[in-house]
Amino acid sequence: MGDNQKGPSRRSLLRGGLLAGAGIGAGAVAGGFTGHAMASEGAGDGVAAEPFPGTHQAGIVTSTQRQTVLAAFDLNTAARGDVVSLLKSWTSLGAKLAAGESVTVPIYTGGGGADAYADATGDSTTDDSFEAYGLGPNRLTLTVGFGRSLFVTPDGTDRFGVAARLPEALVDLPHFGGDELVAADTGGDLFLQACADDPQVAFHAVRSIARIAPDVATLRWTQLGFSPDNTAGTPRNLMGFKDGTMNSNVHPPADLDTTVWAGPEGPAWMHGGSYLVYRRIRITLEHWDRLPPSQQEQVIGRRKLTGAPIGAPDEFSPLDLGQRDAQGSPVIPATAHVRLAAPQTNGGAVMLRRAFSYNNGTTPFTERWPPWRQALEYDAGLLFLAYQKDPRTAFVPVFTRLAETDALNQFTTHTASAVFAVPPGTAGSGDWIGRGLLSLPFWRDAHRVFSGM
Amino acid sequence: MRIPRWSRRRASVAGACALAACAAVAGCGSASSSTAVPQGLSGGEASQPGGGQYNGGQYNGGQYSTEQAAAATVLKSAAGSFLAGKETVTLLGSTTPANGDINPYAIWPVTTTAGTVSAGDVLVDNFNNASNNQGTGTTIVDLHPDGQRTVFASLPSHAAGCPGGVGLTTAMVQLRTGWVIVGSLPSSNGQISTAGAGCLLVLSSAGKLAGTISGSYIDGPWDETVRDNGATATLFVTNTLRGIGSGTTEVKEGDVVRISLSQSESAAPKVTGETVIASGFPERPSAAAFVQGPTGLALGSSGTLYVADSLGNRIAAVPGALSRAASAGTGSTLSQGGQLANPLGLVLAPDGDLLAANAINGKIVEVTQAGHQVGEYYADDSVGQEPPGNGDLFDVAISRDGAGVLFVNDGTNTLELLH
Repeated sequence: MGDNQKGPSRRSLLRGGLLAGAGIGAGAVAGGFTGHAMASEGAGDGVAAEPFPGTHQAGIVTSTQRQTVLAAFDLNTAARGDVVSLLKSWTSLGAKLAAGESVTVPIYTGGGGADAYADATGDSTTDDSFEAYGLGPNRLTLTVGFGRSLFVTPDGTDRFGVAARLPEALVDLPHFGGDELVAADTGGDLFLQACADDPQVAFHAVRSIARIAPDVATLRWTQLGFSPDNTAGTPRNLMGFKDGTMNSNVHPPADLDTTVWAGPEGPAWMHGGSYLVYRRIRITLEHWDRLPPSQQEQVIGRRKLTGAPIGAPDEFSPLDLGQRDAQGSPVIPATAHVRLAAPQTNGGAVMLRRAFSYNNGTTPFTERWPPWRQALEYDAGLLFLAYQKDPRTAFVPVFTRLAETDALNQFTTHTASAVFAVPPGTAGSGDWIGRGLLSLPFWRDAHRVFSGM
Repeated sequence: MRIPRWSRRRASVAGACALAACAAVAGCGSASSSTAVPQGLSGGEASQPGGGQYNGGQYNGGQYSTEQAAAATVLKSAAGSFLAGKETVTLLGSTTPANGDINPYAIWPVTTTAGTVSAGDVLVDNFNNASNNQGTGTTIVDLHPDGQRTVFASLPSHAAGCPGGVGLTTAMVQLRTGWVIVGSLPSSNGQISTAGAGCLLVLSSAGKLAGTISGSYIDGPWDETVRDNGATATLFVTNTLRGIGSGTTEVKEGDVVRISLSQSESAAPKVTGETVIASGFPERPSAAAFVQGPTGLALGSSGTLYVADSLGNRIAAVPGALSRAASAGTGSTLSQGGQLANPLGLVLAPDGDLLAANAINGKIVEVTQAGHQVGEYYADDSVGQEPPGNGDLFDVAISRDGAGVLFVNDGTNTLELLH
């Protein structure tokens, strides 16, 4: 794969010709960074690849990459065949992208949908858009999920003949106090999570997959995120605190089968899958920066520098929630985030979080808590991505409690939300994501999924 | 749920942190380590310019350090006072209904079972809708004694006869005939430049809009109290928008109007007279607090009306409020300064003392009708605001059993009980 990739890449750049002439960026790379690019290609991290097939989809327990591009799509078709064709193409293209190969986009025009570009441009090319060419796989993972709206319309109408297979765990979240959800950034029929160590590789993957059938699966929203290097320890979020000491894939729970992977309690096609709850959490960094660190620590319940629970020596010390000071007050305050989010105060509920930060620049905003300040503020914060066996027993009860009393709420506002059923991984050649759900006859495909695992 | 009382530990916590930082710096110096000591953990605060975006800008620009110091002082509740011995706060529930309305203002403990409400319920209205813009809330929730929450009224954002639309304020009463009268001080985007004069909305006992009361005597109805005789009632309303422009200029035009009503269980209240009985209170538009001006009202048994003159940082007394024919101006001063910090909600306790909810810290202050401050309780000391709890309180009420103080927490959008 490596030779297959960097050879043509370097030759193309050095030859100049069409590529070098195509833009200033390409010329600059050829002139200034060729040597660097060669060195990093030989020894760098770009060549590392994550396997695409597997019992579970990649991108869940995979060590968190540095970048993410999230995308949700709405389906503009009533034909199950369109969805099947689409997911087959997503799968085949996804496998190539994860391997770092340059790709031919398998354009699918669908069974009679309108062409959004009709009368405007020529037909779509199948050419690789090329911005990730030569960068290597960069541990790209692609994770696909299905929204509740793929199964049924809001009034309960079966969309693709799969309503009977709607998992009970794929719930609509209740309204939580303080939610300010932007409808256009929320929900979606299909979901794609692209994670990679290079931002351009992650975006290239989403862009390529979105090109397959823009008239069948139309982008509903996208969201970019980033995470610092975690090799030196638990990464810090934009609040400056280590994020993911517990309940994260940096330090995952011991038994994933009881916490993350869906099992025989739900429909067969989800066995080995997981449920993703996504929340975009805007943090008023302007307000947070006005709080002295000692008080930030009271809000979080951990030390800012070390990540240690207040009253404990280091980051991985057990949370001692019963500890009291000389005055009898709890050492970790009653409304501290770690206390309210901890499994031991939530009946053992555990989620596997893949935390990314996000930064969408600045927008006019009304802060959620007093003072009601309206100003141009950072639209930045956290992309909460939590994989779990069943949101009804994990995210929903945990966040119901957090939404009411978490001291962190005064700095956070949830502005986007979605829940997706993330089916199991693929068995390899010929298999495709969602086959267990969408193939007919159902019983035979369900059987095949499991024999494949 | 017990709310942690961080604020009074504030000094000691900050001190300890500063010491720890000093030790770390010394250690680094002696070791000549190449590893930099992390900066930014000392808790050091920049010197406070007056009227900044956060500090003091909420209510009183330029008084930051004074406000901090005042909030940190403790007035232990005197023996025999209403607040004495009340040290427990219980969370009664979220005040946010499914439509996402937030920022609870008015509290009305229901004493008359009628329509869809029962004695023992507590009605709470919301000033903001889910956009969090002030002057846009349209719901009144009903918190039941068993912990359940229902929506008593879900009003349209605009109503005929209500200039500017609907944004429910801390003015809310239920009459013995079952009618509910709630104030609206609306905006379209949370900014005072779009505020309308609003109205009093008349709701049936089932929470349905039955009519509006508006006119030149209603201009930003902010709080109400009532003397209810059944077939007739005397309603007092504070107006906080009178003369307010869209800048930041303070004007002294806030007033209190007395409105005479006549009604029955089947006939909605009709206005039979209106008289301005107090006037000249300071008011000011505010980017953060929307508008500030005369707010809470409480009627003493002698017929003296007490007015929370928020910007005057005082409680005013207007004698003969039920009968006087002319304005008493800003009344006499019952109590000023001390533990008061721009009082908002005001209520009479069973022993006759007044309880006031502060705007610029999270304290509830007890004042006797003789004007003595006899206690305070730091009901909300969230450190997310400076001083702690700044902007979190609004209305206060006495629980139906007479033993506790109900207050809204605008930070957490909850109703809580101090007992």
